Amino acid sequence: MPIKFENVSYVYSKGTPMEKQALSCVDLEILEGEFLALVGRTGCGKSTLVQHLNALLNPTQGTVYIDSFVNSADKKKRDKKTHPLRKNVGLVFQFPEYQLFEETVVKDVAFGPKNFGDDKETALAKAREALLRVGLDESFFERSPFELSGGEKRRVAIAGVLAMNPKYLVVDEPTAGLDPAGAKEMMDLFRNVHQSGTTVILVTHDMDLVLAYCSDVIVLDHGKVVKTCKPVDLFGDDVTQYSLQQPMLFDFAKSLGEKGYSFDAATLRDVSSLAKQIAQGRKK
Amino acid sequence: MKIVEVKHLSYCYVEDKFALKDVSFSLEEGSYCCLIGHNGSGKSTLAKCLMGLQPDFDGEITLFGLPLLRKNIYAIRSKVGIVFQNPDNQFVGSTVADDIAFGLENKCVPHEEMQSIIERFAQETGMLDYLDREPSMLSGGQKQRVAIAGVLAMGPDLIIFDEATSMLDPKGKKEIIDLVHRLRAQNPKLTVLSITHDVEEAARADEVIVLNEGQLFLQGKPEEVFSHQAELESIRLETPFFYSLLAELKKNGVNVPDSVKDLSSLEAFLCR
Amino acid sequence: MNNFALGKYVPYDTWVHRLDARVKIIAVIMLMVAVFFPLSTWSMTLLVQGTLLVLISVILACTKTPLHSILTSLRSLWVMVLFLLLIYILVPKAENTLGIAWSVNGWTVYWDSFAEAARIVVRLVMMIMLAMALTSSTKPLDLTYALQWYFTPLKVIRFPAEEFAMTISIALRFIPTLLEDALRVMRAQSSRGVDFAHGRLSKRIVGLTSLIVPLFVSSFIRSEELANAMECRCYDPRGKRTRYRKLRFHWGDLVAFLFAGAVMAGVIVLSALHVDLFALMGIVAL
Repeated sequence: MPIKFENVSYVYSKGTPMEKQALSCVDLEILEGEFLALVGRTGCGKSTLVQHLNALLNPTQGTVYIDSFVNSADKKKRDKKTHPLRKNVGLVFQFPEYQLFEETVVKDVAFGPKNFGDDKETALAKAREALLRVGLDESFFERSPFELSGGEKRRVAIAGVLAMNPKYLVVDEPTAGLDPAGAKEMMDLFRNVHQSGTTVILVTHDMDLVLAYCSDVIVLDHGKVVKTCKPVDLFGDDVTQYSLQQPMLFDFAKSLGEKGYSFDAATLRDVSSLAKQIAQGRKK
Repeated sequence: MKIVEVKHLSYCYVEDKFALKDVSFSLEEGSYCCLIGHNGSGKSTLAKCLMGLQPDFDGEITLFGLPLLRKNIYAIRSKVGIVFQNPDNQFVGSTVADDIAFGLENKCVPHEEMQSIIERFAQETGMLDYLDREPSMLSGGQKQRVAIAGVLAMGPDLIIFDEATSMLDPKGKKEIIDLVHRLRAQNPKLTVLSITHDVEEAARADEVIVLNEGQLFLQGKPEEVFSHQAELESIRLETPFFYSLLAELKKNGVNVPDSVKDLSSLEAFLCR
Repeated sequence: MNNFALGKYVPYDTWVHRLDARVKIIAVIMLMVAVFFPLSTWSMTLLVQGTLLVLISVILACTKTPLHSILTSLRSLWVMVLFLLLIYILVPKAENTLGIAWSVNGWTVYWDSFAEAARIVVRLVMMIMLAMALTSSTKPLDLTYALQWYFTPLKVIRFPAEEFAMTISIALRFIPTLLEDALRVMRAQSSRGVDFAHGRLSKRIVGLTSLIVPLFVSSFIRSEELANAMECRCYDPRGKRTRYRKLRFHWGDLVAFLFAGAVMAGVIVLSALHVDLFALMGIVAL
């Protein structure tokens, strides 16, 4: 089992007046090769959950297994060496452009590989490869990361994680603040990363992205897993109860469905597939 | 009456690299205008120029009939409010009440009148129960509502939203947009200029302006602007769901009459 | 990260909280003066300092500051205590009023040394308790305004009292935000293999750079955006402004002020006149 949460709870500032239960009794499994979406309202525990994948947080109760790594509430069972784990699980936080610090783009990207023991040359080679992967060519390599545009900075930061060749890539709200075209390019990038064999976990509240890109969804609410399914299975479900917004596509199809149209939910992915199905429905 | 009049506005941060190039447009009193364009198209620079934050522009800007010059800047700013993108970086006060009061203090509103003004606009934005809260205890959407309350307390005739919803979750976004519509319904004279990536919001506006590479690309009513789907695609902009669905339906041989103007009438037409 | 026990405001509504911040500042200063005035004999020291300790403890208890945070901030004192004891024991003291503690091979230690060390520690404890009573019952912003009020006369020599207060209040407002930024960058860099706590020095310096540079960058962005937002809301640092928060002086404030003043004056008199109440009592008894 690649990633498994067993009865995991997490409490912030335990034993103080600020005590807050962020996760309660979470059980879930993530399989290799998934493009998983982790969705839910702000404060539902998404970010807390993903920090367990990197042992940045240890559970207050329960155990997380990430391949052979054990992140348990029980200190005796917990693995102490986090380096191999963090190399294996790449975490891209919200607004990652705020983590850049080196003089040049390529040095910044090589920072991760170097920390995980690569010599300078290997690290730089990995950095160059990762930069090309995120769509930044040689002309960017020697520039200062601080003179780039917001979208470019974010790509550099993502390259910084990809350069470590993680087996699992976790991205938290990667499209926030980007324009629609930039967001689409960003998501296409993750689709490519996924197709090259990496398991991608997308943390988001944008249901349009989930529908267009993801293979599986886990819905979190108030620190609990409330639904595990395929994106299309959310069709017909009232996701607004979790403060999420149904894609307009689904909403419209749903109200047409109530008036006699029939839709094949499995192929309902974008506007053109919706229009096709409407046109077919009219012929009948 | 024209609230905003911009003529041949150009601006360069670096010499010969135009952030804005020969932009002209005007806004009528009480209109709701959306300004769209991809990142780096000059939208935010335009907002900064309108607020007098970039005084060395070329061209003419007139607000409420006053030319934007150094001597008029306080008169103009006391009638224009702006809500920026980042909720944290515009929260000046140490509590909600203090933040709403900040503009009032600057305008030398007497101390005795402040409390009632603060309460009124906190009520209007749904933040009355949070007056003593510190910003670190608020969500992004709540902070933006405080920013709006602070702007409203100044009694503005024009409010500029500079991507004010882009850092919020769907719920926060919806709350802000609903609030803007409610404010406009209450005060028909309020002019709103919203700089946004959200084309669905733009579809509900009175007027849409599209910027590209610092230049005016398209301008008009939403249905006019979004009927130019190919042009918009060429500058990597999306069209709202309704307009892209119309275009796709047409491709599939479903001819929708021109009288269909929104989703509900489209639904009615399709189910006839 | 939020464990600064000393200086953390505790939001209750006690009479100490309701006092005017200006009065609280001056009262704390007066009590501190009282704490530091020397007295003629050990028995008087015991009496006066004991009374003050009880008084200050009562005030601090009235602010409802949680006991554990008081203990946390006093905990760091024990190093100081050991250090003081060591010095006083190693450096022989000439005065002998309390008798000899021990005398080994000519190395004589009087009980006075211990008493002296204890006096200093008790004074420090009272200082810390007073500071805590002030900060835990007064919002940082009110403290800023109070300081501004005290600095206002300095305007004559062009001291920018209002800008100073604005700067401090914004700095206070942004402390939690910057802490959050720091935590976020730390998490991000830890995921990229930085170990902030262990490893070689050179590696740790690089790790620290990877934290500090992004923090600087984001603070600059924040301050620029904040400056724009303030300007758009008609802020003019040199212009006239009115004030939403006003400090108000009530009769309770007067009582507190007079009480603290009386305590200070009393201790000063006892100290200056070398009064020994016990000796006086002896005279009266005779």
